[in-house]
Amino acid sequence: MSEYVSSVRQPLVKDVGSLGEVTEAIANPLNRKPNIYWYAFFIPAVIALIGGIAATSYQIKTGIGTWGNNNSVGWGFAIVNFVFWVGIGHAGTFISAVLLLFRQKWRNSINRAAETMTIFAVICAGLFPVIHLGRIWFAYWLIPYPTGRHLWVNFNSPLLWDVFAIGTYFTVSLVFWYLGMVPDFGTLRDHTKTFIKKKIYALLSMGWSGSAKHWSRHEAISMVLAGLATPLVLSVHSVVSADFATANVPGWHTTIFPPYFVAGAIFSGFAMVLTLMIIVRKIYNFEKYITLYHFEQMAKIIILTGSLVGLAYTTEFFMAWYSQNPLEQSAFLNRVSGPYAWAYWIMVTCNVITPQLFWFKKIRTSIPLIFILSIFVNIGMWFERFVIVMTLHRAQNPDGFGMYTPTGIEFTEFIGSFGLFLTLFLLFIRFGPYIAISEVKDLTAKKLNEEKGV
Amino acid sequence: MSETFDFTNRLKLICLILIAIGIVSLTFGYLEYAGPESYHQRFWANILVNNFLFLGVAVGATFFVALQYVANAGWSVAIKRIPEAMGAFIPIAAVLMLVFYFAGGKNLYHWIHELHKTVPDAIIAGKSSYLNEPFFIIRMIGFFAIWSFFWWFFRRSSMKEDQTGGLDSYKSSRRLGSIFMILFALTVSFASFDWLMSLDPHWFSTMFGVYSFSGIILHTIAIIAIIVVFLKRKGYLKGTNENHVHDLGRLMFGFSTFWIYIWYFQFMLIWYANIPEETAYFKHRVEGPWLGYFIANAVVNWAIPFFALMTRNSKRNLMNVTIIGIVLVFGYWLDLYVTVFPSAVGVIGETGMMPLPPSIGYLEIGGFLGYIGLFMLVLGRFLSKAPLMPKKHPLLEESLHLHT
Repeated sequence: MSEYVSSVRQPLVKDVGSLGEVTEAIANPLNRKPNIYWYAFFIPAVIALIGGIAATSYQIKTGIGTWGNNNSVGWGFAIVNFVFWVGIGHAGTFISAVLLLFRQKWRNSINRAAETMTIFAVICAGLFPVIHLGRIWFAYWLIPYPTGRHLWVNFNSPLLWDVFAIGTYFTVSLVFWYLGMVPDFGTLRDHTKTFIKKKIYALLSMGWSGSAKHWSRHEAISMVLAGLATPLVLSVHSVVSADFATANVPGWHTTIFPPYFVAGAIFSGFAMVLTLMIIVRKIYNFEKYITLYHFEQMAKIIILTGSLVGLAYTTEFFMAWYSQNPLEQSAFLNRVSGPYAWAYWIMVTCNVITPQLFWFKKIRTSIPLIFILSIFVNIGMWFERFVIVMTLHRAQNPDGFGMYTPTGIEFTEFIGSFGLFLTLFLLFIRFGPYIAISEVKDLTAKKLNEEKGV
Repeated sequence: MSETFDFTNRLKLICLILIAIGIVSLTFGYLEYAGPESYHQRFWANILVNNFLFLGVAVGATFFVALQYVANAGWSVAIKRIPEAMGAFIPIAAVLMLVFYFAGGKNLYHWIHELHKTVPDAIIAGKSSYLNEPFFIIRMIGFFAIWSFFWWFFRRSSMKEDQTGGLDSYKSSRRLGSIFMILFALTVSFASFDWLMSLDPHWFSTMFGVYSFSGIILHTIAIIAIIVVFLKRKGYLKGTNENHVHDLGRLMFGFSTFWIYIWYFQFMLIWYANIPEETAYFKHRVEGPWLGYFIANAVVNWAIPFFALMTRNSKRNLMNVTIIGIVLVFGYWLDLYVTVFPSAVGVIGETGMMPLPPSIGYLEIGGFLGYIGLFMLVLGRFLSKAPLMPKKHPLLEESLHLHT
């Protein structure tokens, strides 16, 4: 990294006096009781989670008939939520791997929370296909291995590719996340007084001593993992998009799906990072480390990826007309004006129109507005998957027509997935190094040296 | 730091010899390959491939400049005069493209003939509100107007900055750069639909615009890398070091992989769904004599760069980066050859167009060399017009102290 920093660049940390101050600011809240804001989020999250567990238990006991899926719309909320959560899980690895390779130093104070979010989002995503299996106790049949049954998985099916793609992504993200935390666990170990906590942090820090040798190894493995994780950012959602794009369903079979899904995933992931970081910053008063500049940068990525998604919508529409294929054309006309047109227009408004407001500096530097617009994107991206899946309500023949109405069980499970996600996330920021202490110190040290004129 | 490139007579002579080779081969080719109904398909298809290739890297270079501004990139400031000069080919490509179209190249576009029939093909007639001659020409002029304007703007404000300093040029380039991002995405998509995809007017693929973009950005970076190394060898660009070449090598490595990702998914999704109206495009390329070229395309543009640029040292080795850059330039020609020729050069039979088997002769090689000469001539002239190193760019010092 170039040591010289131009004066046109904004500082990445503000008004920090010393390196010790960074450790204190991040480690101390972990040794205190959480404040009222934390409980304000945690209690509803746990209630939602309990509701989700109850609904899922009932659904597994009774059967998939508790859902609104039918002969026309064989995939409903389950796949919508699955794709939604996998998409959210993209920003973390994008921030930690791709932005690391592009030497974007501003990622340092948000990468940990984003990676954490990725891990938990992928867990939420993975649940939906599993509970959709019907006989969940046979879930291990998804794994190919030689058995006496002479029954193999169908390697031709993109749904199986998903098992591999998401399994790989989850494993690499988990390793990347954990290895990044090792130095911070070391710091926390040295900073906590409670005996049990100290033991646990010590175990997790794997004997980290902060020696030059440790750092050198740590940096090397970070770069290697970043290199491995970068293609995964693209491959996971490309494979997910293949679930749709390989099918001979008008409106699904279109070649732009892989890059379009990837752009959409990064888009939704960044929106979720914005939503969560604004909350975390509020809970812990982290204005010094998570500055307005961070939010502005993320807002710019929202404009970029939102515009890419808009370009993909335009291309799809143009090509449906250009193909002169009546089935393609009717599929798209039906999206705009059919019974689910309301969902389509919510999607276009939230994904293409409102994110463009970030072009105005006033808007992308106002925390309340960023918060609202990021929630809009979350909504829009959920509806994008809903719109795509609802293509199924009109097959080519009238006997394949049918509407889909989600049941209360499905809604409870969907809200339950948010409960699971938030519960895990809030527990993490309660006990884990939710900001990469060592990386923020790196930035702070540079800033302090600069001020001293070193 | 005010070094200026000296476009020596020796270099000019090389360019002129290449251009002469090009003119001779193209002239002979025009006379020899008068195709069915005297459309000179093979001749015009060659012109189209070369036009698109060099236009692509000129527009790609302008995009590269804009991207550095929008992303606030510091590392690339020391080499930004090179993409700025590459963009100078846009107005020339505009003339070449218009000449191509009006002098007979439009005969490659089968839909134009079809629309003149009393009972045109129903699908092509259905597309006629987009695919018709006047709108096609209007779009062509519009694309060139947009690209030329932005190239002119970025270069002019960069020159102005050398004189006046301050942050004005930097800020206005950032502002217009972000607008250009959007226009670039739209124009490149639709230009590739028009000029390449509509050669096969029944075929369509939503990925096609992304595919063109991936080719453009990959090969633009390859050419920038070749020129940086060339200038360094000649003793210019003293402010740059192997870290700049390393970064260009990384981008080549990354975008080569991005290119194969798009290439693979476009093919795989069409192959998997197996719908005749879509597979028609790939059928010509994977069945029969084109298969070898189809595979060679993936090898040259991805497999070779991927393995040759894998290690850190290989990206810091100037010779290695140049060789891979040159491989990629030929790879781009091959990519466009496989895209254009099976759709444009063939015999109309009962089941539609049957492509002629590939044959690379003096027309293809000579024509490509001629275009290389022309491109180098324009590039050399514009590189020698301004100092190679920007003087007052606010991020210049970051680039000069680049250390990775």
